[in-house]
Amino acid sequence: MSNSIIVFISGITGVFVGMSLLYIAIRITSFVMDKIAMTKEGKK
Amino acid sequence: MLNHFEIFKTAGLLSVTPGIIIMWVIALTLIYLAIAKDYEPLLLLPIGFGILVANLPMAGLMTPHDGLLWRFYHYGIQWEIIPPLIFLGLGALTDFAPLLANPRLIFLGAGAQAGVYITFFVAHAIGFNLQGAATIGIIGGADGPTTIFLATKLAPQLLGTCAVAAYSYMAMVPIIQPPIMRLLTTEKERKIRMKKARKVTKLEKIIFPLVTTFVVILLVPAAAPLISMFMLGNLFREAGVVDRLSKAAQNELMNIVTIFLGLPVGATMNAETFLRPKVIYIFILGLFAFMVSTAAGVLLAKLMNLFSKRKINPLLGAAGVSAVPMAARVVHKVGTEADKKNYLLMYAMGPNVAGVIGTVIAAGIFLTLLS
Repeated sequence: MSNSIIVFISGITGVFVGMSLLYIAIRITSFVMDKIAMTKEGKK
Repeated sequence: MLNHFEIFKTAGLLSVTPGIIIMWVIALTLIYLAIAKDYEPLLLLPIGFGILVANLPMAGLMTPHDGLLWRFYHYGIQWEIIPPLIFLGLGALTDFAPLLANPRLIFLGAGAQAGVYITFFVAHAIGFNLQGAATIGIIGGADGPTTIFLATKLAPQLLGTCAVAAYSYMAMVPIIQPPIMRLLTTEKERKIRMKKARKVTKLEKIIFPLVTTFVVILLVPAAAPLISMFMLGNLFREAGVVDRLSKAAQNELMNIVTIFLGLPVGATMNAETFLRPKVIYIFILGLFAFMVSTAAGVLLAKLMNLFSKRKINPLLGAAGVSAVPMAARVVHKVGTEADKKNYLLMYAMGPNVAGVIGTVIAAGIFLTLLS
């Protein structure tokens, strides 16, 4: 396989993996924040 | 005894060549476009002036170790100082709330990077080496500082050309993107209204730059100089306790480094390196990269709609190219042409800022594999 194909595939895969990890991190953060907000509202 | 005509021997006038005159025309054209047409004036004006003065014979402004602009170039750009400082300012200016409110839009910022890699592949296929092809491909990310950062490391001989291409096409986003967006979407798709996004808390905004720093640098360490400064700037903004630093990064620092970025980048463009047939290919490939990035973003949004109940307006995909906030404004404009009451600007800012992160990751991967 030529070097350009390796860079091409690794590049696109790497970008999507990186963004997917960020997506998961954002979702976890927002889930926790929403739970905290709900708990606070429940206490009021 | 001094000869009266000695002065003419040291004057640059006798060293003017046709190539130099062409470079003057290019410089004056960029200056004209910046002043008269408002084409990315903050960068194209100093770049144009840098080209002009670097192509004045005998001035020696780019003489290694001695010339003024060479020092700006060496200590500012080759030492990797200025592009990360620009990112510090960009981070302080960026609001990630639209992305945090609608996290799935982050994939549109990733999808638009397809243009970077497809262009890389095409550029290599037509004869550019891997490093040159990567530098040309990154133009499709529509991110000037990242283009400059990558070019300096991988293909310094292409720095000026790629920077001018990137900033020129960024200024032309309102012309390049709309026809592609209309071609790839139906009237019905352009009328899709986005559902109201959730409210983002201050704590989330503070956590995001920290998490992004961890994730991106652990995954692509080569992207560390840019992403760390980008996220530090954003942390300044969101922390709410260092307003002075945030404002300094957004205004004074950003303005100063913009001057020291544009001038030396322009100065790297001399007749010997710039006036080659390959330069035309670079400009064509740069345009191709922009077009493919736009198309890839739109098509990815349509693909996501096939698997999602909550439909995304596919125009948002076009904002995945960085060009902040121009690309988001274009999305909003094309959206309102189909439905006057469809307010897409805030939603488009999500993929727009995600595109910046995506381009930095793409550049980091190129550096990891090719430097």
